[in-house]
Amino acid sequence: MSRERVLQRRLRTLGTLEEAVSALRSLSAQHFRAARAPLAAVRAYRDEVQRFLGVLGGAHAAPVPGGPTGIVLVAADLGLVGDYTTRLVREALELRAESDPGPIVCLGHRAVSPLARAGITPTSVQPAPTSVAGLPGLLLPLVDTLLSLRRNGALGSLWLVAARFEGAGEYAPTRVPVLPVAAPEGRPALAPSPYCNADALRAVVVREYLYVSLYETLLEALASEHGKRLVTAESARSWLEERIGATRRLATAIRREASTQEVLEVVVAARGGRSGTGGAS
Amino acid sequence: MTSGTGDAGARTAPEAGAGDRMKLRGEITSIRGTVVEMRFEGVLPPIGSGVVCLPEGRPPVTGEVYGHNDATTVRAIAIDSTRGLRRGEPVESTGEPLRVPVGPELLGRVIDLHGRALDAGPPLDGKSRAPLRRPPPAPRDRRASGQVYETGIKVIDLFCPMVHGGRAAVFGGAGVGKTIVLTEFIHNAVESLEGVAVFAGIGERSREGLELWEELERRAVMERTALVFGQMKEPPGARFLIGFAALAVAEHFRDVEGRDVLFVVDNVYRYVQAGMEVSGLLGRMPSRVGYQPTLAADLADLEERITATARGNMISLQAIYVPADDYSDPAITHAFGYLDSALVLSRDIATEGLYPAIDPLASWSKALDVEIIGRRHDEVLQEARQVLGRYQELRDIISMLGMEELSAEDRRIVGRARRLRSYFTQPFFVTESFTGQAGQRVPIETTVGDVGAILDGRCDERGERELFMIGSLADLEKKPADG
Repeated sequence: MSRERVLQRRLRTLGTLEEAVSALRSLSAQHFRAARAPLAAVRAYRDEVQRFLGVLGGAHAAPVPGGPTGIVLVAADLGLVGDYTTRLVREALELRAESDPGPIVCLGHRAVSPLARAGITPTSVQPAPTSVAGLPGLLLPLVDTLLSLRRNGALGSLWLVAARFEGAGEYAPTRVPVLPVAAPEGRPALAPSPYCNADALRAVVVREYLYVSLYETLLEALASEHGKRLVTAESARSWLEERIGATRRLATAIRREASTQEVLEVVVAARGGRSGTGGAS
Repeated sequence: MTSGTGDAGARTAPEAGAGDRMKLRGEITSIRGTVVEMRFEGVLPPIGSGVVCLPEGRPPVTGEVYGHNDATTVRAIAIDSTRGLRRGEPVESTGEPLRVPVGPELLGRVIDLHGRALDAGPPLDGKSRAPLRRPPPAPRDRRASGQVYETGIKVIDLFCPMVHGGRAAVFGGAGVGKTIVLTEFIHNAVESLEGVAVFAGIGERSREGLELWEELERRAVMERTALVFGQMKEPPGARFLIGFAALAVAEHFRDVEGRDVLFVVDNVYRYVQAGMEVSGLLGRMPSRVGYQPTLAADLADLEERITATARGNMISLQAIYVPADDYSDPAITHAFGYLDSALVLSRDIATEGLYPAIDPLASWSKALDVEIIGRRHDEVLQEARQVLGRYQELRDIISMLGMEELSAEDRRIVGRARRLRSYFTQPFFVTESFTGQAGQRVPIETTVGDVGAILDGRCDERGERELFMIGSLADLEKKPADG
């Protein structure tokens, strides 16, 4: 195959890749915005639920004595995020080493291999969320699972290990204590109500708190992941653009060389013909 | 392009001695475009010498000898139009190379390749004339470069400083401010060097030459400037030689009068193009991408003569057109070898209204050595590049997500990068009539100190616009008082 044809093929491949990466970049930007938009409202709601728990008072905040520490590890299932999952797994392993190891729930299949290398098999592995729209469907069964583990005494405390958003493309692996709930102190207890059982109400609010805490953390993790992917895709696109430019210039130079060669052959043939040594004149 | 098709049987005139005024006479035997062949009886004019065709009742047509076809015939390229020339018309040659008037009387004047005045001034009939072609100064006569030449233009002095005896090139397309940068250079150099400027207009539009001349007149720097023009409308032979003519003028100022010279060329690529045309006219085989086979030698002929000598200083600034923005073009790669600094003008920066539109990340200089520019300059430069580079990376992200989604560190970097970009704008002397702002020159030490201050965050509280079109940061202190 001629070099020119090889370069044309490479140009087509690079062009297709650039289109794909550009589309990925746009998608990441859209998911990023979708994850960032509700965060402020979710935070305010979580504060409100936490405050209400303080008002309720009671034993919801007490740890299960001697109970193991559970971890929900929020990783990623999609690529183009660099060492995102590796850093989070490292953070989870550090937390596990510092406490009484309990069940580990893994959101994202990519975290399974590094955990296995550390000799850990997750209690449960679920697909990582890829968009805000997928969060409720993931969270409802997850919260139920976690609460049942806690009720069974398999979970003394629960931590979330996820990425904390620090700006587009910037994140830090962080651990967030969720259970027992750190309710604000010094709040007056709610007067007993004849209409609602206090324990039942407390259970509902704890469930709500767990749900909204997970939701907030997952939103922030989603924003971090998509922010990182956006920046990576942007770098990839710039690199592809450079490669396309360089390849195009090379192809042009080869084409020019070929034209020059053709002109030279014509000139040589013409001269040969004129001097009678070139055959036909 | 000094070699020709020599002939062992041909006798050539003795090397053009000063006193040798023997006239060789011949006649035209063929004319093809600007290629003129002529027959001489006996002695032939040497390669590189001038010949003059003398058509009856019309102005003479000058040419330069490029080859000896046989024992009696030479081939010359005309540097004037050959329209109206006929076979059989007489030809004369003194066997000497073409010469151009030189000397202080050229200051304030505009001339062509023949030394004819283009400015409606009195004819230049001075006695001093210098040959267009001559060898470059011997290595022992050259002055080693290394000392930074201060242009007073902040972005250039910081990112791509020029050195005495060095050659710098301005790369850029039309309308990005190339001519403005060249003109400001001439203005500042004439003021700071207390020397002279020689401008070689090669193959560009005549209108641009006229505008430059008017601007220099308006700025009152024309009295220390000589303009030598061979513009687009000239035959290729003239465009090919005009750079040498301007160089001969500049060399006279440098070597004979011992003055500092700023040698400005607009445009080196047109010189290469003219050489390509001449090569084609001579029937030479084209080389890579259709360029003349003597491309490297042609560029060396011009560039090697541009240097500072023990007698005088010479700094050169050259505009270079990049065909199809292809920096791998043979003409550009050959030209790069001779450059000490490259200033790349960016259309993106120009469209943002940031002038001079020099791209600090694409521009470079061989003087960026800590031994030459000093440790502090080097540190500030590296940091400024990092900040501007990071800003460049983040620009698309900002346009998609907005500034508020960046990390605190990135926001800080972007803020400082934007302040730097504003700071690098500068009111020029030659644009005072457009901007209404007095031109400013900024010493290198001030630029380095100011950029260091911006990078250290000492201007974080200032708005970006406050740094726009100022000289140094000291101007900011005056602003509230003025306001």
